[in-house]
Amino acid sequence: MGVLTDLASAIVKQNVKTLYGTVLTRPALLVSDGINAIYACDVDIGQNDPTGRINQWNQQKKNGEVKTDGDGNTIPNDIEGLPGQQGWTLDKTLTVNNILHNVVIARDNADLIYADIGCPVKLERSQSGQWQITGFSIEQPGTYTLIPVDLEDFTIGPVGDFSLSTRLLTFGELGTLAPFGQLPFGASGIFVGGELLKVA
Amino acid sequence: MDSRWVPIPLDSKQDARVILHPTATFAEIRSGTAADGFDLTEFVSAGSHGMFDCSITLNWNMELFGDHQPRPNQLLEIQLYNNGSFSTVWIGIIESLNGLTLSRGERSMQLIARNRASTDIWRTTKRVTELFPQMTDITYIARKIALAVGLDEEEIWIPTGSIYTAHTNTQLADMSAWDMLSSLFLPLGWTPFIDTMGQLRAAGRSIAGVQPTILLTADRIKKVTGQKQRPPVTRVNLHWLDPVLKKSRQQGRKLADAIMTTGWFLPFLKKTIWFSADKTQRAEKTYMVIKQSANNLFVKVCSEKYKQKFQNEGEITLTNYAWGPTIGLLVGQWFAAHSSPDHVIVPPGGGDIPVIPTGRRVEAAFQLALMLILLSIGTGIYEIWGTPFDWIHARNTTVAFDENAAPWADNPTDVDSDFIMNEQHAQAVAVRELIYSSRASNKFSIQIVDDPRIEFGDILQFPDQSLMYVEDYTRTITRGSEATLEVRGFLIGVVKAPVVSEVQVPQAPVLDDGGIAGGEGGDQSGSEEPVVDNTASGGTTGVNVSGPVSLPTLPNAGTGNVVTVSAFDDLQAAIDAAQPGDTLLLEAGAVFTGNFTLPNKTTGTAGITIKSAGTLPAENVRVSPASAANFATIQSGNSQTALATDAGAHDYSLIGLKLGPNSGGFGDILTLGSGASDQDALSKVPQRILVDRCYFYGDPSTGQKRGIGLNSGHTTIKNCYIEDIFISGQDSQAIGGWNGPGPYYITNNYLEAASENILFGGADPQIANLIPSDITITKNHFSKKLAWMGAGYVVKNAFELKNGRRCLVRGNVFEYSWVDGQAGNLIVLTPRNQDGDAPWCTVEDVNIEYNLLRHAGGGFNLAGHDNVNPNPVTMKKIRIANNLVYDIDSDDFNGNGSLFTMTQGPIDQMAWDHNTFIQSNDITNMDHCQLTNYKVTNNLFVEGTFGWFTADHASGKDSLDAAAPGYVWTNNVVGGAGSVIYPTGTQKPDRATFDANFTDPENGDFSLVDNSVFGEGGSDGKDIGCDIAKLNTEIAGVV
Repeated sequence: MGVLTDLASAIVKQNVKTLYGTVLTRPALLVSDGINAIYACDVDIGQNDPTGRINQWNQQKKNGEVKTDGDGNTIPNDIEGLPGQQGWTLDKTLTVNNILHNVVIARDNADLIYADIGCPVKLERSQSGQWQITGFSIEQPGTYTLIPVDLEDFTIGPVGDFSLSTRLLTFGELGTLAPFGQLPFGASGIFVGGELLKVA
Repeated sequence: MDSRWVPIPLDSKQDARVILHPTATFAEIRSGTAADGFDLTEFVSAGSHGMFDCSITLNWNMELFGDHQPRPNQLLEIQLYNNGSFSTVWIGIIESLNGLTLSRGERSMQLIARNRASTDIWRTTKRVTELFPQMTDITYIARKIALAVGLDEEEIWIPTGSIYTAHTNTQLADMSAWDMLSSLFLPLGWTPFIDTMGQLRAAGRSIAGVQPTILLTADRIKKVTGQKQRPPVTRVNLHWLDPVLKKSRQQGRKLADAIMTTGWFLPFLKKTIWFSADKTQRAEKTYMVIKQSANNLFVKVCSEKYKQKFQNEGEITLTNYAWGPTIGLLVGQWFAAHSSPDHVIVPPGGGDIPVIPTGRRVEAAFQLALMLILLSIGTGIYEIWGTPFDWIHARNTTVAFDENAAPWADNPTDVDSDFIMNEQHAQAVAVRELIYSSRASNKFSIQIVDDPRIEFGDILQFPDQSLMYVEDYTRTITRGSEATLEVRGFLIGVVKAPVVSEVQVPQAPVLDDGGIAGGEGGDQSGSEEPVVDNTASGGTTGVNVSGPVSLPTLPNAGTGNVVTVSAFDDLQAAIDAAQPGDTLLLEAGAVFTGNFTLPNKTTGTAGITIKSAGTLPAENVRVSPASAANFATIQSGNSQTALATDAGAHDYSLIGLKLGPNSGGFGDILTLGSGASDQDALSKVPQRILVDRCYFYGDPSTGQKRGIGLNSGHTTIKNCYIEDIFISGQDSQAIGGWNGPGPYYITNNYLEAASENILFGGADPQIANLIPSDITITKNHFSKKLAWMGAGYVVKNAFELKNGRRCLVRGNVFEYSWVDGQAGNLIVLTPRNQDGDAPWCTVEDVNIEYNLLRHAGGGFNLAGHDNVNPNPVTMKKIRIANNLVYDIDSDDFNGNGSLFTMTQGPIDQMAWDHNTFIQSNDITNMDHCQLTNYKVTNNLFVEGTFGWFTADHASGKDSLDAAAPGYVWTNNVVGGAGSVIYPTGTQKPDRATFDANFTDPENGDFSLVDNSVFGEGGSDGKDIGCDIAKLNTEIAGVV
């Protein structure tokens, strides 16, 4: 989980009972009454609703702000203060609406409490409508690519890679981010299209 | 477009027949051999048919009773008068008979018939396929499904595809046959359909840049009868299972418990431990924790060991410590105790002295030992701990969306496919489906003067240049009615140039009217019939050669930085530092020495270009040693390759480089991909490589084993010059590959090598089921230095295919080959399971046309199967057309001087058509060869020594009858055949007369003189023999 937690329950538009996801943050203690402890973590559930991203792309295009790198791809990350720039803002999630925050781990799942980032997990919707992680899975969300197409002249691109991934930060990244706080060895990051989105 | 037909003239009346077939099959009706037809035409008061159904109203008095009354499931044929005769225009299955009425003595009813794919066996019955291994051509799966629902091979008109199963053990289940075909065809960009003749076909779904198949003039368009629009699809979400599995580890934990009891009565005890209750959990680094040992405080009962045996199971073994032998020993002691005499002590003076007998002591010792033995029974409690892991499928999503759609117009559609091979393929499919789906929303309907050529998937062009995709039509077949056709489909837009994008939509090779695949631009490979150029071949139906279905995709475009690399810079460092899109400009004339590698850049998909600075030959101009004089040189300086790719490297362009020999001539100069076991999966194959205007050279004295090791995918080699590739005592190739999937495009190169100028196969692929495919070889000059004759350089041939399919060899010049390592043929096709571990190796679907072959000891050696490591695969689908072969001479080049040597095994579907063959000895040695579906048409041969022969048969027809039963032989000429008997119709002029038909054969001009007796003598009305004018155009500039 990020430093700032999102307490709102996530809403998944599709009326499904089961999802497959990827653990993005290490499970952390969410609440405890002294006897029972509830752990939770952020989970990538696949981008079921890309309209926000597309609308953002369209708005940027309208404003002439569509950026491309030398590769012809969009720069998928608009975070202020990319490495080398000023003003890092942690937990700014843009329109990445496929991250389910603070998903609780079902009771009697001690193994899941130690789930490492990147693990594939199975989510089920409880009677109360909340999602909870009930076990490991053998399927998880993969890459996510957006291709704008001009249907008038059939031109394509630039292609955007918005794949979510998570991994431990490297020594170099820890060093780069050091001015923004003491990041311990073992801190992980969530990446969009290979660009750092947030430190988790 | 159905080319059997011509458009109906303007203002014509419709003339159609309706034939009832109570017992005939589709094939019998198509071939005109059905004898059960009953003409219903005179009873038809009204009727119409479309692509998929037919409705007819019948009126009769008493005639249609008994056997003549139509019944459900009988076949119905509709014939249409066109171009002077009636021909079958539609065949369907009667579904129902409705509305039977009787009025004033006349009966009437309505008959409904459907396309054969409308039946339950196609649409409703759920099916399960067999398991198909990885790398199965998915059109092969489609064929199996089509066969399962009743089609025969002749009714399946789909080309072989370029998409393969990427997962292990692919199986389709719980789907109808039609849904299966639709799923399989989607990644190929095809839509399945059963045509009006009952045959399975495929129509292309790629409409970006598509070209029209039929032009409609204004006078043929009667009216636009309807237009319907729905909100267009604005977004296609393609969900696909990533073929590359990811290993996911969980936290280390307890995996299993075990309780085991053992004792002196068991020598050892084993127990299998599963890492989960369902026995499927994989784990690694497992170990055993002993919660309670089977050994007790007094005795050590056994050893307790654990070992992991498989990914999902381990084994605990308890081995007892030699209690068995101990028991034996104690039994012996027991016996000894009872058999030992008591020891008696008699004191001096006599009297009683207490005595302990020796046997009792021994017995007591035994009883003590027995007690200890009984104590050696123990129960152990164990736990197995380890790190669970699984191989995880990632479900990827690739979204193509209309960038101009308003937010409120968002209209997504989801497409799932497990036949997507990689991200690039996914992008091509998503974009194609978006374009197709968005256009298909706008339904359009027009009424035109009947044009029977029109069929599903055709593209009609209107006078205003707009295009329409045909989905269905309705033809009125009421006799005497106006000959009109109502065509339904959707508007594509106006004619445009092909799509220009970062997404490389697979494109069909650009071919001329002898084309074997789709047209230029877009993915049209599914829209053509899988037959060879019938126009040029004079009819080779049944020899289904389709050739390559795609050219390689070029490296992705990109505009990055231009980095100059001087002779003093570290080239490898520059390559490593290059970002996708960058160009490394190597100093002209600089020499870079080392073993350089092209890494897999994972930070982007744009290409990296490495090229010489200075002046380069213009694009599409072949480089020469002279023009390459000032190129930057890359050379290894040792026996290793100079330049190689890392696993998964992609998108590299090598332009204008000079690449020199390795020390001692070992290995490859340029290694694209790996032929070794480190490249054992498609994911490791380098992709999208361009080698353009590069000069490769071996050492003039010691040579070089191989110029380019071609084991990559999507590779283009063009405008290059490769020379001095030879090595003493070993095979050598200018280009050689065996472990890359293709496609390959090798064009406009000079290729000089001693053994094989180009070789595919020759070693077992390390990737299971891999067959190099979609190989296009055009406009190359294959040659060998005559100075190599007798020098021990293992000269073999010019082009050899040991494992390959869908290959086009066109417009090349092959010259010089002689007896050395082989018999001196120029082209050798021979499927080889080379090392015995690749039984799937095949040679099939090879089209050899418009080539010049000369100056060799033999022409072709075609071996149908592997006689060394026999495999189940045999050669098939070979087409040899419009080639000129001369100076095949046993005197100058040794060898047998024969055109064809076919002495090993079966060959199916082979056509020789319109070739001019001049050789010194035999035409064909067919000894031990079995030919099926063999067609020889419109060729010029010379008899030579024995002409056509096989063992125990006379030359000519007798040998052909024996070796090729059922062969087709028409309009051939055999000069100098004398009294040799050939099939009826064969011209047999004497040799002088034969030669007099050529303009200047002494100087290689085999064009026909004006008054040649061979002129326009072909079965297709063209000149017999090779189309020399077209050949000259094809090979212009090659030499």
